[in-house]
Amino acid sequence: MRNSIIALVLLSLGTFGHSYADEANIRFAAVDVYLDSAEPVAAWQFELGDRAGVMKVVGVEQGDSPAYARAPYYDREAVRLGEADRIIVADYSLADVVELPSGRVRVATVHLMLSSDDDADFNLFLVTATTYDGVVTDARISLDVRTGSEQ
Amino acid sequence: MTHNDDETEELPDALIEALKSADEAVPLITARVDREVLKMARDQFADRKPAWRRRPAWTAVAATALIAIFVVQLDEPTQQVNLSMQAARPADITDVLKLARERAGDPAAQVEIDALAMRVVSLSPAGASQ
Repeated sequence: MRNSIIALVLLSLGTFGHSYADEANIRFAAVDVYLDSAEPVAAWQFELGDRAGVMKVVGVEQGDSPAYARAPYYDREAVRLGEADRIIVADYSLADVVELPSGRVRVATVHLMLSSDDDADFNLFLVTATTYDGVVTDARISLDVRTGSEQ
Repeated sequence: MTHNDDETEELPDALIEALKSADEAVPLITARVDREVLKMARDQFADRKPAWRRRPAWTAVAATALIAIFVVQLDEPTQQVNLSMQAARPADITDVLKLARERAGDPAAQVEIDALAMRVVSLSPAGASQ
């Protein structure tokens, strides 16, 4: 009986210790994604992944342009289930050409949970960016990572 | 006299007379007449092209038709491939923008637009962006 109690106590400590260790490795980060285009952009789409395999997307937030006021499209179900180890984000705007963003503009912020002390190795690429006329434009995409107290 | 000769003599007189009247002398065509007839025929048809020279017009038409059919048959699979390639091309947000502009002003269209957009960003293997 006494041995059983000791075993239970050790098991509980082990389980607690394991959970505590897992939680200790979890960090959160926000990745600001910027699109830089000389022409006004009416639609854009990018994909963000992590070659290190430590990220899970926990949310996506819209950018700065009033032409894209609502939350962009992304796989909400995969995010809700915690299965989004990469994310495809896209949005379009029916605004007039003068209201569409050009230059460098933040189009989205991707909120991440990082499950390791190792840094994520982000893989960001622009799937497409389209002008008001529906023509693919030669835009550039970049990211800025904010972690911990920066958020 | 043979047995057959006996039978011949027994033919009716009317038939014998008819056979005799039909038994005319064979017209004699001499070599000279033959050459003259041949010369006249050649002169008559001198301007007429031989059959093998008249055939190319029809042959060309038939060959053109066959080539046209062949080309069309060759072209059709290419078009099918192009269509299948277009169908295989993953939809992206540009397609969503195009649909949204086409259906602008139709409030019921937003569901359809959102559905296409969600397919574009889907992470599942069935998603269009895969």
